[in-house]
Amino acid sequence: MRKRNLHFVPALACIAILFSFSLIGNGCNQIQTSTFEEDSFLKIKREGIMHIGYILAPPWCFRDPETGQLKGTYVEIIEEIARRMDVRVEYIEATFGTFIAGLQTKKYDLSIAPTFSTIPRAKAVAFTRPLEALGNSAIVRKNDSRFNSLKDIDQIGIVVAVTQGEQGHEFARTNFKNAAISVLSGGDQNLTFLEVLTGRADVALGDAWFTAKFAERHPAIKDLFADNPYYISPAAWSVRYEDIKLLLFINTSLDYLDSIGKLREIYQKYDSHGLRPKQNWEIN
Amino acid sequence: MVLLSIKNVFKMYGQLEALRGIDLDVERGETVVVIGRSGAGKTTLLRCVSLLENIDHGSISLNGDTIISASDSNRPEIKVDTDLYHTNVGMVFQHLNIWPHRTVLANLMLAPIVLKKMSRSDARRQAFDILERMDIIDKADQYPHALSGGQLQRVALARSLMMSPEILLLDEITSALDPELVNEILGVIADLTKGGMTMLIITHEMYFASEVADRVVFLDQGEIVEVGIPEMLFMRPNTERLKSYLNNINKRKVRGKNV
Amino acid sequence: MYDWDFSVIYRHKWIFVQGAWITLQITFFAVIFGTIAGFILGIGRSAKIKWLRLPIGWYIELFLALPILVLLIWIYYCGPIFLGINLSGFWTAVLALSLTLSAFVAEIVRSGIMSVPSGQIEAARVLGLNKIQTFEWIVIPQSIRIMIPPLLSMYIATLKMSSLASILAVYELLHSAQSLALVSFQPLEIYTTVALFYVVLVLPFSLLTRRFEASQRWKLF
Repeated sequence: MRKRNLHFVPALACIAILFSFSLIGNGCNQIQTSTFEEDSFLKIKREGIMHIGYILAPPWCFRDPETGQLKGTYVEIIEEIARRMDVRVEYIEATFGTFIAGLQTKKYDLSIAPTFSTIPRAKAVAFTRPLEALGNSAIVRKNDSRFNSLKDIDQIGIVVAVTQGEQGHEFARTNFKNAAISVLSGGDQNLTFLEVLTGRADVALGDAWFTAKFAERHPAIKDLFADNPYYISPAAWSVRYEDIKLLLFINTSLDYLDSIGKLREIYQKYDSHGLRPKQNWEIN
Repeated sequence: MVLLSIKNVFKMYGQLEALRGIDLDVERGETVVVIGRSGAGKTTLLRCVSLLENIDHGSISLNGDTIISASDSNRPEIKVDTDLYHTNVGMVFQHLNIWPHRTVLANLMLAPIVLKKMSRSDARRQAFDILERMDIIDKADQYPHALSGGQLQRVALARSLMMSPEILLLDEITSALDPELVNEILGVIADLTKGGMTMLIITHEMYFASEVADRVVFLDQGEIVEVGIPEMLFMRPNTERLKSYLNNINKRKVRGKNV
Repeated sequence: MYDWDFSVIYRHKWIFVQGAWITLQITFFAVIFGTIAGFILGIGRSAKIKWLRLPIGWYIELFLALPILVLLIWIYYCGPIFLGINLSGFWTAVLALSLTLSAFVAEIVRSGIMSVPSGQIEAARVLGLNKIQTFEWIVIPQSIRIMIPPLLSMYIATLKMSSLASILAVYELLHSAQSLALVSFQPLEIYTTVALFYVVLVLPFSLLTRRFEASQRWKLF
């Protein structure tokens, strides 16, 4: 009696599924989703709808707990652009680990998630002009007087907690040679900061705004670099490389809003710690 | 008049020959008891007659109609309306196989009603009738787990009688009972025999066999070695195989309880 | 060490309740679809027909092997490209959970059917019942009672796994709570409350299981 072992079939199916993930990484460029490839900018003008992807990250995009309404600096900026463009916005939420995939698979045409426009990342997505330069800070326990500078942190025996994929992670990875780095995943900086509160870490790194707000709420810790944030990096929005027209348009819009002082107005409204790019004609 | 006719039946389980050329005719109203060692093929024979197993060669007929036949060249052919066949052939299993999720009454009534052979009221009447004859009518609404072994034995028997079969096949129905209870069931079987039921019974109990059998068949290694009236086989066995079998049985009875 | 303040929970309790409602909806649909599919597959798997049994076996092995998180992301992001289906986060979660649940249910159903002693099936056959009738009257009633406890525990697992939908930004309980944590900076209170909510959601299922097991009127030999 023949007995063929056909158990390789589900194994093959799994491999096929896993393999297709790598296609996402490469942008699925070869695969056409619509019969007629329309430029996103033309589509937006034709349909009157802009599909925007975002992630929950206060103060840039977040939900007001009282009303459930979407708010934030970047939300208001894109609403400004949409209003002046006479289109409406449809928001699609994503999470920190998956929002790039959403852009690449055309779930939306523009991502307003605050993303640091580093060169490696620019290989995958096209970044707009920087909206802000964001700084980073760190928290330690209030009565812990060991740390005054970054050098104090990078010592043998010190445990530094960072959030995976965030600037703190990249910074620690490239710059800290002696300290032990504990990487927390999940995209929730709260949990990283909790490591210091519970004593599992000595220091936790996070972006300047989040650190300041967290320190306000928890008197047991202090914001180490409140007045002098380090590792100031440009944050930008992203589109797909083929949407050159959309990219040009967004850049023009952002430049315009910046020059009329609208960006500054919105950032101040939210008490955002972001620094604007300094224009070469500005004196202060 | 011959009711059941088994002609030259062979049955293989892979390489093993379980039945080798069985020829047996059972007359209407006759009670034939089959004895033999474990593995001799007794249960296999019964399972072939009730169509739970196919045969590899030979034929089985009921009332002159061929039920199943096979030859070396073609696969077994089941010729008759199996439904009709099954209602005419009743079987009680060694492990009884009562359905535990229904009451005693429901166990009896299920097949007739589902097969639309009887109306619900007729089935109920028939069931009560049989349960009364078996003297377990007070257990009608109980679930099987509340009954004793001997009572369950009678329920199994009652269930098989519901559609008034022409022949009853009983597979070692005493082996699960305490020796004292064997007498009980003996009485019930004896009543059935007197009532004219045709039966093919497998048993280890020689006393039981000698009481109810019209004829005894000794099966060994898949073939009929001896056949005859009980007195002939038990008192004057012809073959060595039967002699040694009876010796072993008697030894067992001396050590165990005397019925 | 940590300054506890549960007032933020109380002030925004509706966020948790609404999230819990979405969790229940996802679970409800996944349980319905997964159970129906699982029963069909489990019965098909027990059948004698080979061309039915083998593909069903592959399907079951596939979805027992795939982590739900992977399945979720694949359906949501690759689905439009490979399969032409573009589902919302909510329905992606329902689909992924249904597929996985159906594989487990199929196995539970198959073992439930096999747990009925073959002797009882033979007794039915010998009385003249055909395969379908035997299945309906003898196999199903008994095997259902055996299947119910493991089915209920799979449903509980499905409810808990609905939290994975948070990766697709579905506003079920976990994601709703996380959005609150991000603006309130009080994760401990929030995650404690989430845990409590899950316990409350699961409680009816486990009570049901216990009640059912206590009510078994008959015992198998």
